[in-house]
Amino acid sequence: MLLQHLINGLSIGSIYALIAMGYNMVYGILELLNFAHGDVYAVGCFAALGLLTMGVHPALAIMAGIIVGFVINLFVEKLAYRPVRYSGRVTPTITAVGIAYIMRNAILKIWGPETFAFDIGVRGSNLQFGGIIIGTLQIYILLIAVSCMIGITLYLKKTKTGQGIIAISQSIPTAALMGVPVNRTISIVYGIGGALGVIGGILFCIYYDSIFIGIGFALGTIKAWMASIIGGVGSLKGAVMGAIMLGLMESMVSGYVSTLYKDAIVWLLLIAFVLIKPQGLFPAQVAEKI
Amino acid sequence: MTELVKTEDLSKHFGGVKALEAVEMTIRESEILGVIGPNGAGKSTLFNVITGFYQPTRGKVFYNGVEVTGHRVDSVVDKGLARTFQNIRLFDQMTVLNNVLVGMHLQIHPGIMETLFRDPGKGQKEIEARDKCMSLLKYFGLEKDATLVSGNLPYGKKRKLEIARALASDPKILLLDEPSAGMNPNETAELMQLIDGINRKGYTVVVIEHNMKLIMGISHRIVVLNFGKKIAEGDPAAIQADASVIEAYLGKEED
Amino acid sequence: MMNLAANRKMITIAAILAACALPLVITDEYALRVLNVFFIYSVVALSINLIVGFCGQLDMGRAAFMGLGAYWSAILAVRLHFPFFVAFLTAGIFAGLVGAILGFLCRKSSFDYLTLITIGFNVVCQVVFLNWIPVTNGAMGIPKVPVPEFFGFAFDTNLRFYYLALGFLVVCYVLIERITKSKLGRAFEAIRDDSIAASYSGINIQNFKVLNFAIGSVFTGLAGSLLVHYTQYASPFNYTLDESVYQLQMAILGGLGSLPGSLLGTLILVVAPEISRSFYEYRLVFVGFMMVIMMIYWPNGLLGKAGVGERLIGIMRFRKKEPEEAGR
Repeated sequence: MLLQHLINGLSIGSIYALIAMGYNMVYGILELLNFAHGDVYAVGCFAALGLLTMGVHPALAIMAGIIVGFVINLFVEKLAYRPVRYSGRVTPTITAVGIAYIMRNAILKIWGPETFAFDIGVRGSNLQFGGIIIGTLQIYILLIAVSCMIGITLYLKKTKTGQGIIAISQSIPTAALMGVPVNRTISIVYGIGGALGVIGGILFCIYYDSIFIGIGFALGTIKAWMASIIGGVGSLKGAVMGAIMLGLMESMVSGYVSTLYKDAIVWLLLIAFVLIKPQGLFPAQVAEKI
Repeated sequence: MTELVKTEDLSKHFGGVKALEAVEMTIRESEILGVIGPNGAGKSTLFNVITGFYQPTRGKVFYNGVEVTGHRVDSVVDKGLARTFQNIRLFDQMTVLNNVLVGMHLQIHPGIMETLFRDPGKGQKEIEARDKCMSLLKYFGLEKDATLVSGNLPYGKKRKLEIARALASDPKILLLDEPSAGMNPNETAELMQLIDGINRKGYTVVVIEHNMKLIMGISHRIVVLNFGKKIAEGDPAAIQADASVIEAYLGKEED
Repeated sequence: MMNLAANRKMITIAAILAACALPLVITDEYALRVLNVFFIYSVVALSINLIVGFCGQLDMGRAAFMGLGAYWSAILAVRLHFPFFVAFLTAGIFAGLVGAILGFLCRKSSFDYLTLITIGFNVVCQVVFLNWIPVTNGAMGIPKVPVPEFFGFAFDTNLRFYYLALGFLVVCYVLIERITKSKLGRAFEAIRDDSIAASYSGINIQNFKVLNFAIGSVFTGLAGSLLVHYTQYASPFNYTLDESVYQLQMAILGGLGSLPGSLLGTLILVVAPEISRSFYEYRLVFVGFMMVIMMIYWPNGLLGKAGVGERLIGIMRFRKKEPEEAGR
């Protein structure tokens, strides 16, 4: 039983990891507490759903969804975040809350609060080892999550834009002086963040065979935060580790303690965690300067 | 002269970088102490460690013979230290007067009754504090700006306001971190007079500076840092003649 | 200076008198009800302003504290038959204590963690309200909460309650204003503007943040309690995250850091959904757009610095000055 919970936790954790990665990328670079992350990628997922129901090939529909997530974040960044980029902490956070509400209500207006089936025709079969069931789907999810992580890490380390992103995360003025196109690079960061979110969101929908409004905020943004609290806000490695730990924690709590209070217990554990490690497991290394 | 502050083997490392290494120094009562050194010599770090903003990696800080290593900033401030910052740090959205009143934080004790059951600003303690702040502002020539929002002040006035705020806590020691940064020669000359005046009022002043004319002109004693270590200490004339200081600033002559 | 302060006092007293006389004009029960709700929510918005606007702690879970006050009061009054004022006052103390504890746990955390944890706390509270059936009665909520009663006098009509709610608002407003203009309020603002410089002014940042959170929570809890005694029903669905965000927008719309602004923001956001059914339907979209637009063009709100209020005053002053200068 324990092993089964571990495996379930691991696969749900890797979905959280994808969502949290997109979230933490934006955070690590701009320190924006991106409330809108989940709701933006939810729009991408619903767009994919819309195309699927119109009979578009699943692969195309998913690609389109990812592009939608990318493009929406480009626009949102330009219209809503760029003007308040240098206005302290409270202001951009509130702007992001505003965007979250706009996106969520747009989905509600178009699709409503119902749960829809999300069927891309991939049927996972179950492999059995002793008493443990591992879905092939779970393995795919894990593989996709890991390859996305590796891809992003390589992108940041090996490409010119990636290095530009890292430079901006250290200091925007210095990066600008060094010739990094600040606005364009930041747009790309948001775009990638949105696209990664959509990938995670769609995996989520595939995992549960369904899609509803909650995949944005309740299951997206909030889980990304939880993962970041555990792992350390602003650290990519932390986000991934935190997300996997969160998946394991949830699966353990619902397996051994209570399904009803799962969310409350997980939050309480997190609040307790903050008490012990106020900066997370892998705090972003920033020396406070005065 | 009494030693107000004394450090023993004070070191601060950031990862592998030794920002401060085994610094032993004293701040003596009612002197003007200059702290100089090339960029990255650890001058600001020294202030930050002495005031408790950074925990030292090694070593101790004593204030009037009492160890204050590891105390929080506000409790070190309570002992009688106040400072200004290299990059001005004012409370930008508050008025000039309120900035100085915040500086008096530790002196005002209005109590719950006065806070909740008197008209705002009408309590006895508030009125006294306000009067004191206004006279401080007057001393710095800022009394006409008292009701302005501090973020809108011109640069030079911001610098003065920061010093006024620091003095409002009535410290024994005033630490000034590059007070002349961004000032023209006239303003710098005015600043020198101001620092001298503050010192004559009985405050001990410690100044970090790059402006040699200023530091040599007003300091009674100078401490020189380089790569986190104290390389020289003495009166201005001695420092100007010190070979290791010249080497730190100009580099070693090749044979 | 004196003149301005005296003027302000006159205006305040005039406004209170006008508010007292308002029921002579507005006799419609429905309108009175809306005003009563407005008075209570104003206190919530003021408490949010104290925490977010004055101390820069972005609390996104205020509804949880309203809920704590409401449930505490409802349980005490309905189950344990305590008189109203005991339930009401202890609700404030209870919410304040919880606020102090939560603030204490977050005292070392950064800005972001505080925001996340207040959201988490809101979720926790909601789950508990909904599922702790023996105490909270679950989804059914707690009905038949008694109306406020002082020594046999029951505030059982909308008109009677009007004066209670108005009195509540005036007292809370005056107290909060005095706090913001005292040493305490200056310390909060100093922490908001520059916490490092604040600690170098001798302010114990952690303690003052906890204090700020606790004081704000007392007021939120009191408002939650009063509202539940007015609607006579505690429902777990009234204290959601959406509710918190809506309340936050009340403080933002009028202007963070401006107390009259909180009243204006609350007035707009309480009255508008009542006037227009379609506004009610789209209120969260509206709030979303308002948040973005306000932050970009009017970050200090309608009555904050450089807001509509200040511009109006500026125009009036300008007009007044003209003849004077012409006469010179």
